[in-house]
Amino acid sequence: MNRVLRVARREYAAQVRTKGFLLSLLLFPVLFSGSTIAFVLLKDRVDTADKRIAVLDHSGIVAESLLAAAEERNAEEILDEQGVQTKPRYLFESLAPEEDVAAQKLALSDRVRRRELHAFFEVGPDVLHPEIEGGDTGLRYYSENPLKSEVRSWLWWPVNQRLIEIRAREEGLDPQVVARVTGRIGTESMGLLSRDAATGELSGGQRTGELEAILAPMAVMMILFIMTLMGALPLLGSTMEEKSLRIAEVLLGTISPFGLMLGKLLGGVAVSLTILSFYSVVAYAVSSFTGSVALVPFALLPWLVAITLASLLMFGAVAAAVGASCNDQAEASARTPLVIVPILIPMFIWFPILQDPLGGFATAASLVPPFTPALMTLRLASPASVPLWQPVVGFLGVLLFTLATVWGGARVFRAGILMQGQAPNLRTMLRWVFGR
Amino acid sequence: MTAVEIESVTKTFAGHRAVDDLSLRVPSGCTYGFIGPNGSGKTTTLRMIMRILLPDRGRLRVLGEERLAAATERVGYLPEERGLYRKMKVRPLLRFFGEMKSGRDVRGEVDAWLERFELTAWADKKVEALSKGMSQKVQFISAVVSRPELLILDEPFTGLDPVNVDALREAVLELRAGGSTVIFSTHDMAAAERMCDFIFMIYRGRKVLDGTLREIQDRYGSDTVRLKIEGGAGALRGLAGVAEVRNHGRFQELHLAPGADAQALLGAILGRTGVRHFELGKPSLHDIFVRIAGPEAAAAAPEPEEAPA
Repeated sequence: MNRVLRVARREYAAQVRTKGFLLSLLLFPVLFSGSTIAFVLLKDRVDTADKRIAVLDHSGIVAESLLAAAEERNAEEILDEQGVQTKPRYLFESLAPEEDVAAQKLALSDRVRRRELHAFFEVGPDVLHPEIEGGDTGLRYYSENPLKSEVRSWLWWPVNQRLIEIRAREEGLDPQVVARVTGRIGTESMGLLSRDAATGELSGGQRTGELEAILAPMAVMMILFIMTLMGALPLLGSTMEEKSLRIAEVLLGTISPFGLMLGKLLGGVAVSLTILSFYSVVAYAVSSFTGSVALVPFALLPWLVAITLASLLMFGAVAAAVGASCNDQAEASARTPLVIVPILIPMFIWFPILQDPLGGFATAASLVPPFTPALMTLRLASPASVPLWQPVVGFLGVLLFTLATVWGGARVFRAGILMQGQAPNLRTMLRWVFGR
Repeated sequence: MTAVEIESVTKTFAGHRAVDDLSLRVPSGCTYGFIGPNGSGKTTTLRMIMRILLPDRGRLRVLGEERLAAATERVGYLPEERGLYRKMKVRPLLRFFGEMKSGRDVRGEVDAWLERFELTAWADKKVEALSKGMSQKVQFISAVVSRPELLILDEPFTGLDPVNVDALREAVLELRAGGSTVIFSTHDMAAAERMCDFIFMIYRGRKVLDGTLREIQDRYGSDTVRLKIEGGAGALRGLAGVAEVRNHGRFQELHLAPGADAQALLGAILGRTGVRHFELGKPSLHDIFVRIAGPEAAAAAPEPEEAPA
């Protein structure tokens, strides 16, 4: 067996045959996808405790109908088919506005703070005719937590229905006719259709929720992130160990510095592909069990394999070079951000990219080589149809950048691996890269 | 047949000339000792022979090969500072190093060497569980398990107890008897005297000694007196014709000044104290080392322990 492959095999075994690897394999998805998983698990778990809301109706035309609408809702919408309450009751209490409205609102705020009320709702006196300039036409919802807005969202419909009804009467129109004419239908989010080249059958066009549109790309990007992190980052520590324990000196009597680094990189690639295989099998098993195979973008596997290879070589070369510049664990810890920050940055910008996967920002960011593996993968896994030239150009950019980092990394590795004493600074390392 | 040929080799690190215009020929099948004070260029020379470092100038030929790494699989190397993966188990570690070198299955050799050094019980333990002496023996096995034609040992006996020193020494001599060429650097002058066919001393990057022990000693002549006296070393103070007195406790060693008469010296000593032993001889390697490198360098080189009979 070739010496490079022997180094790769040792590197692979050293990383994979540890309890830490197995633990990381299981824990990483939980840690990094914790919020998403929690969201999925908890999305149907709502607080069913009664919500008391005070209504301060300055218009005098809304409160009564609002109370009636709430009663209707409490009677018809809060129980599931088995009669189990799944939503809270909304209990409105109508208050007459006092002379000192500010003091009255302060008192109501205190009641909210004392948990006597969930919130209070103020209706401006001029809501019926918002077209009149200078009038107070506000519908204001006061609560402690503006993020929890189920009640506020619900209020919008009955209040506006009531206002439309009164306006219709004022215009001499039958409110029922108006309701029929202005009836609105919600939109559903659907995936695109495609035709199977082999069978000619149409597929896709299924209803997709926002959650599903986020979950699959996020999961794929997360797997790539985990693969990169677990494949590349250990190279920093292992190179530092080989340097500080003088193992490198023994190995360099057998193999060239570039051969040693290449072997280590291939070991890292093998670790990542092991992770990819593991998660692919798990994804297939879980999606088959839950009947959601269509949601898992298995068609991306070839791309994932190719981009993992390039990504590992790119970040692994940097990790090995940084490791070769360190003498001990403390120095390695201090220099770890040089490797980890470029891997982490996509994690901070994934959301705006997923919101508009075909936008300018998403396109530009996914064509920056260090971010291409994560961000292009995210876009490809999203329901959007990314133009073919973009992954092609992105992949070529990654390949070129990878060649540059492997070349530069090898030069730093060669110079740093036998150097003892003070760790070289960035300037020295750049001199090693570009010097003669 | 020459195992290693070094021609006018120079190596500089950040303005410091570690090896300066060095030329050396190591014949095949011999034991060649590299001596010199710390920082004199021994390890740099060994690393250049191993092609870990490349010379700035000059040529190196190892086992007849001038091409970089051409002879790699035929050369075994024990570095000065031991390099072992702490988390690896002993047997897989030795297989890794042996197979990296030779490219073939070395399981049989690994087990034989482990048995020879009484390490079989530790074969499935991690390196981090081994004592320093055991680690050193494992490191030695990693250098020899591929049955190299040329074995390079940088300070092989440092830190070992006498039993392990003997075990290692026997193994080295056995390898040499089997046809391997052995180059080793050492601060142990007595070991160098006992084991080496040739001795090379490097000082401040330059070759200062090269030859057999006899050739080297002949260059200095019989200018050393070893004696045991009844009085203490104080009785030797101020003797005419003596360049240096070295007190080893149980015996003393006098370095005669050029042209000094040993018989006259004996008479002068007898005039001061009783003499039990008086021997005129050639300087020891340790003595020669100290004369070249100075007493500071001698601190790193162990004193000879053998007293005259």
